[in-house]
Amino acid sequence: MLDLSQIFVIATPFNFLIMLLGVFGGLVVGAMPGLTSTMAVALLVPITFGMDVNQGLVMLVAVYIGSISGGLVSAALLNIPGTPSSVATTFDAYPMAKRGEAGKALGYAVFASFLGGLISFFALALLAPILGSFALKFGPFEYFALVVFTLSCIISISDKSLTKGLIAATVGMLMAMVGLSETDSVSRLTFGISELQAGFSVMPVLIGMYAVSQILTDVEQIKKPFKIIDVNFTMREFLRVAREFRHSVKNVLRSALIGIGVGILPGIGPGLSNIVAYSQAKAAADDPDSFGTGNPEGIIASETANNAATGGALIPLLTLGIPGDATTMMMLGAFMIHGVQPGPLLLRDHSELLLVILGSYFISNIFMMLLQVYFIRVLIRALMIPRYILYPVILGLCVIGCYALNSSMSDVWVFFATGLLGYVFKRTGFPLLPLVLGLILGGMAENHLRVSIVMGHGNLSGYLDRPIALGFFAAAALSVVYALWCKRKAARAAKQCVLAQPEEAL
Amino acid sequence: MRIKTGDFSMGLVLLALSGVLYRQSGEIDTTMMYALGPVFFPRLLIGVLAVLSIVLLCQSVKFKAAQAPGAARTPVDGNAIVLRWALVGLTAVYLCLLPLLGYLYATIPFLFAGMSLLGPVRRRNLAIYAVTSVAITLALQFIFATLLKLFLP
Repeated sequence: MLDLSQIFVIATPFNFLIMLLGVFGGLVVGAMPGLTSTMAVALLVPITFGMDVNQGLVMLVAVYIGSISGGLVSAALLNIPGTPSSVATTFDAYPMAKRGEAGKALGYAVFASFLGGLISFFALALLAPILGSFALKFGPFEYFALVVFTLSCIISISDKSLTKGLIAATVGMLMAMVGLSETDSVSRLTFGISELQAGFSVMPVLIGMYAVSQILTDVEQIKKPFKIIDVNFTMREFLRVAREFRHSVKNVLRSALIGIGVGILPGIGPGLSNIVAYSQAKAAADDPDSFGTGNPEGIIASETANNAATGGALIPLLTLGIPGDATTMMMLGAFMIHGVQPGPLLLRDHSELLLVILGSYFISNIFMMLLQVYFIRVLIRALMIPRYILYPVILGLCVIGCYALNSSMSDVWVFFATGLLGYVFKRTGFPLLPLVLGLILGGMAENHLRVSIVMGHGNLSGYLDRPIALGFFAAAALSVVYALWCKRKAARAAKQCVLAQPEEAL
Repeated sequence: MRIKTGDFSMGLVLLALSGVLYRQSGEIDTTMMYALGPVFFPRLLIGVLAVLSIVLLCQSVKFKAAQAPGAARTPVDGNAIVLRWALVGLTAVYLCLLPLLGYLYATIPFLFAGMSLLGPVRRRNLAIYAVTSVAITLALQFIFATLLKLFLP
């Protein structure tokens, strides 16, 4: 059981300060178009290196909360979602801002974000201990099956080609094989390079894959200035909007549940939750045609869901050690740097760390709301920083962050090389998420497979007696079959569309 | 028959990579055979990668352009390509110089050069770049080395 009195461990002035800075940093990075929540965590992780584990966790959670919510600012004022989790926010927040109600649009988005985070906090506090206790029953059979299921989910949602998703995951898993094997300490695939004996550090690879590839992709539009809608957002306006939420209780609850549910699923997270919640809100509305023209319900659905998904995504990370999306993957890497290994044992042996995370999650949500209400002008100013100034600074910061990890230039070169690899993969349509997930889960998959085969007396028959493992395999197969069916359906529809066009032209 | 060049090239590169990795996996010490041994899983993955590369090659060759009539290809922006690879080159030079010159003397010119490369080059802008480069480098040094007590190159 959790000893709730330990939650006061985080109630120190310094922790409050780093939470405030973390949320603010997250909001600024999240608000900038092109810089995702993953990038926010990547950029701010190095700052936690000099902190103790509690402070590091507090900062990471604060950055995560801030960065997911920060996307709403550019979604409302620029019509560009700051992060993928705010895509659906643009549909109604921007039209509303355009007709002179920018303050109102921000008010709806900020308060919905807060409510989504709050509901998600309760879900995290209730579900994480239950799922953690259940996960204690997992052995190597269940863990190997869980890794297969996680990878299948992520490959299934990877853009257009299943083959490319599978290749990316395989390359990632092969990268995890480099260095000394965990089971028998045998050197593998190092090509005689001594620096590779320890394998690839997760953080430089993650930072390189996401930061370098994003910057190189954005270079094309780097000189285009943004057109920002002017806004007058005051506390009075915010409170007036907050009172109107009494008419939207159903929408808030539905969107929060969608966010939490989607967030728990591996690979999906806040990026998709906002779209699903938006479409459900539209389907349930009396006036669906008003969606897309500045309907507050659309903003509420999107922002409640994406913030609710943050708590959802933390549940598998904390209880199973399985990251749900790129941002939680980055957080897993950062947790490991601080000597924290998420999983069922974390909840059993170090429940105080879960309380630190819960406490900082709750307080960060409050800070997120207050900072956006009182410091929206500062966030808008941050949006105006030209990207040609910002990007070299980001590159410099990433280099220092990777170096500070082990005081080693080899980590910096790994960052640079994997950044280029990430860019090539992105350009050629290979998804990055399966690759980095493969890198993180590859070693785990191998160890559990090897141990399970020893336990099964040299063959895979042991899996037949494990219903949970078989359940995961069945779910993995279903997700791949479903993805194939969806892709085939989409391809057929596209073909029919192409065939129909000449007739229409006639 | 049409070939999707990007996928075809990636297929070939990945197939070659599988070959190189398979050869390298032959160097793994297998004298201690415990639970399938250390070479089983990497070779399994190499095999999967080779098969998938062949599938990708086949898909790229079989690909028939289902392009709508009149649909145009996105024009290639030569300027962006030059800019992109110049930035890559600049970063590589920075990484080479970092251990030689140290954080301070390598980072200030890198930031200044990066901003000048990506942004407009006017006298006013150059002054902003210079001040920003120095200020940010010093601020980061203060945060990392003085406050957080982390080592910098």
